[in-house]
Amino acid sequence: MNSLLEQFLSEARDFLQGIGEKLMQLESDPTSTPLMTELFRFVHTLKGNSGLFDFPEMTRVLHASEDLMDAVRNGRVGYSQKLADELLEAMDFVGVLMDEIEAEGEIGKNHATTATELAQALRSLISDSKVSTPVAEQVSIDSFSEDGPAVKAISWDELPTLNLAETVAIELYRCAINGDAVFWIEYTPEPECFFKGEDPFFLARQVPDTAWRNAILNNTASSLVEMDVFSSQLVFQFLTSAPAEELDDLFRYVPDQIHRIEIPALAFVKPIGNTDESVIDDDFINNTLLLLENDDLDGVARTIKTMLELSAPELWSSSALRWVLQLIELEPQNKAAQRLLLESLRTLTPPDWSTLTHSVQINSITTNPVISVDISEFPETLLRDFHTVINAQREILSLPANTSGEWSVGRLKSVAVSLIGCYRAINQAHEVEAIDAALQNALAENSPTPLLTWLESALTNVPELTVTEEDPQIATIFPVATQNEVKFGRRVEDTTAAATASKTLKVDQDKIDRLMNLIGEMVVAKNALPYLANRAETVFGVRDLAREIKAQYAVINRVAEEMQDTIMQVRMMPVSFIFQRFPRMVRDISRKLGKEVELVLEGETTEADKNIIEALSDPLIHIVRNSLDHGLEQPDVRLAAGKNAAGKLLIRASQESDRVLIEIIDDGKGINPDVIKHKAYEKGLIDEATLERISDQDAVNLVFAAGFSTADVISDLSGRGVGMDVVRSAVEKVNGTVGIESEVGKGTRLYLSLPLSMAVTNVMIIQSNQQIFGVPMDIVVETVRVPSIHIQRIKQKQTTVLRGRIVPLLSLNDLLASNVAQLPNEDNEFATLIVRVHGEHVGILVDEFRETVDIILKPMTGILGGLAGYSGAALLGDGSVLMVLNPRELI
Amino acid sequence: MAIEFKKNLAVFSDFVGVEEAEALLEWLLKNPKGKINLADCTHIHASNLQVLMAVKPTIAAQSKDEDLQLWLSTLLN
Repeated sequence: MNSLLEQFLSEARDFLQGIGEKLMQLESDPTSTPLMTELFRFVHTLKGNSGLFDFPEMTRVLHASEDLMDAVRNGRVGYSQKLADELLEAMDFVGVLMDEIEAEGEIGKNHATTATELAQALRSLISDSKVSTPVAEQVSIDSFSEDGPAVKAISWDELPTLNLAETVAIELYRCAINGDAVFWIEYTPEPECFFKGEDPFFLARQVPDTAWRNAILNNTASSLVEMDVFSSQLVFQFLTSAPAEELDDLFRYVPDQIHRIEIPALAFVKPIGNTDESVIDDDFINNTLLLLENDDLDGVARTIKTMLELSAPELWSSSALRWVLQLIELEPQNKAAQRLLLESLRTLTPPDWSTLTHSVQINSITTNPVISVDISEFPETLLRDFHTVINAQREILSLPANTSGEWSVGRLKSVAVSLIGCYRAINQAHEVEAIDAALQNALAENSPTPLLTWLESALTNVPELTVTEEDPQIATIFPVATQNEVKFGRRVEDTTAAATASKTLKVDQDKIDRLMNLIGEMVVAKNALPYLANRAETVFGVRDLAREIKAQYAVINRVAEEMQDTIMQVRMMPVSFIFQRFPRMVRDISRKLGKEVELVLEGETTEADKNIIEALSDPLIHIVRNSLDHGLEQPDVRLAAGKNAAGKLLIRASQESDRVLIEIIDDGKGINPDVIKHKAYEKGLIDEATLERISDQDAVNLVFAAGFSTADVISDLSGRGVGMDVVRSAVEKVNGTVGIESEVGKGTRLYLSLPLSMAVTNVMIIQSNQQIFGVPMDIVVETVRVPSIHIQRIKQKQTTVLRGRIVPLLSLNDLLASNVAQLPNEDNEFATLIVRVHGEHVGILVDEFRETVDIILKPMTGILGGLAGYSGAALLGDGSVLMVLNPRELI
Repeated sequence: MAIEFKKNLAVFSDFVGVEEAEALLEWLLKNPKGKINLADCTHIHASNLQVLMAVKPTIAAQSKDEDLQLWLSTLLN
């Protein structure tokens, strides 16, 4: 899943929740305009966002919601409970879709119908209030008829008139009889569809398994000259045996422009041909009908075949006879249809299949008791009728005897006959004997009890009606609606955290910072344990306890470190966070400067603490601007120098042990040390003597000096003299270092080295003038003991030679202005801390070295914050405060 | 151009897009006896289809694309 989609999903969930909340608030305050506007904005944004992806179902529903909200906002439609329900339902649906996208990356095909229905339900709310209901109704009927179970609700006159060749019709008829639904599809593209990039004809050509297809032009223009070619006036029609899902998928973008009807098999049975003459007389028809009544299907077939041989094949009557043969073969039990078709030969007009009702079909089944069918397979209507009759019989039987106190024989007999009829109708003719026996008993006893008892016992074997006692009409017309209500109702209840919880958690940064502080205190508290162990051993003399405390400390130490790591990782961010803005920036600046630049980003997934990343953002922009402005040359200059016209700017991030290294490398003209030297001299940054002896590398480093700028003209890009020194101080603020290497004509490499995290600082504790101080380990090069005889005095400065290198020595007491001499050890050696400051090694004389510790460095605030010589303070395990020196500022 | 208009013949090639429809109609109005050569045409946009259906010009050569030929032969007769 790409990150855009991920972001969309995460945002969309927020929007859905927002929409839900606003709807709830509207419920208590239905007239609030701000709420309404806010709600519209949510729906509008969500719809817009969804349009970025290929989720037509989602966009369709959201679009309808948006239209509805727009109508509400403009007062065209009043807010109502029903409206809120519909909207919530639509949002639930969108939520379901999003779950699916998250799980599978796409939306299943089965949602298309639901989406259309929801959209139509929402739109009908708009049109309801406009009193333009006829259109809406028309639409909704169409849509319901699309659904499988509701197809039965179509009346025969709704079916399109089919004019098919007989062979095609026979094939379709066979398809339909074999259970493969045959659909009639009418696709009416909306007039403005060309402007949406649609090609209806292309879509039409994709319809699979078409048995017949056609296009109609509804040209409304009076003449060809006035014809609007960019407004679609086409209607496509198809007969296809393709599966409904496939069709749904094909038309998933335009479901509202599709009219789909499942064609019953008999609709294809339509004889065609010449009706002017007929060789068939009534005798033939009567004889054949007689054969049919006698169940002599072979006889019927024989007769018809003989007749067909005698008559011309193109006659209407011949066509009808061929159809009868098909019916006999494929629907032998459907006597009514066969009869109707034969009867039609008398008038030579196509049979009216709408006169064939269920009851006719049922009758045909009863004459075929051989076929044993499970009762549960019977159509619902039949079962319903069955139960109605049976219940009526039971009522009759439960009636009190007549005034004479005797049960009339006729009543019992009629009940028995009804029951026998009922059981035959459901193919349970074997019950007839039992009913007869019960009737005999009842007649003998002159009481209804035997029949009643039999009835009660028999009913337990008959499946109960599952359909509740609703108006059957409603049940068939709105099956989809009720189904959905149940589904969505369930979803709302099911929305447990586990099922739909998103994988990412948005947490306020303050909370993470607090967690960070807590783990810091935990580290401090943990560090107190060794002191405690020490005291236990030395002060109280319990050695075993000391050992146990130490063992426990090891455990706590491990857990605390792991915890610290984890919290650190929470705060980690990829450098892509700042890298992502560069492509745009580089493009804009290079355009402005008329330069061609090829930007290469590497190591974007390298991670560092959020604070570091954020602190890096401004310096990096400075550096990149500088490279573009001063580093890379104009295309013609580059070509003259034998380089590619397009300059290359590489920004690379990598991790080196516990530091992040960021390099900005260009292949531009490089930095000329002579130019820098003279500029620096002009600006008074260096004196004449320095100008003479400064090394090239040192000269290049002068670009980091405060107030340095080589540009003579101040542009909006650079030249204000607040460039690289700002970069350096910003980087040093987060304990980073910055360096530059350059070769004239070849290019420049700038590198920033930053700690991965600034939460925990490793410091060395030193002692001087009976106080302890911390020195950050990352600047400590080594610790040496320098014998006093090796200390030379050059003018007022102390120096020593360390491995052939002159190292200036500074006394910490002097640096802190405490005016006390440093104390050497018994061998008259001074403890010397060699630190690296601005690329140079400097020795700091102290009294004594102590251990190194991990501390949480707290910057000093208030009045103490002005003391540049200290970078902060930390709490030690024994509760004492450790001042951490900042040698860079101190020296 | 996916349609090459010659003196009395419009030759369609490959895919004839929506933007051709207007020119096609104009040409057909100007050349009422203009014929259409579809031999190298694989698909025409619906906008062109409705122009052809409205004017019903003579087809000089049927498309080699069987499906397209089937469609057009029924619709343009």
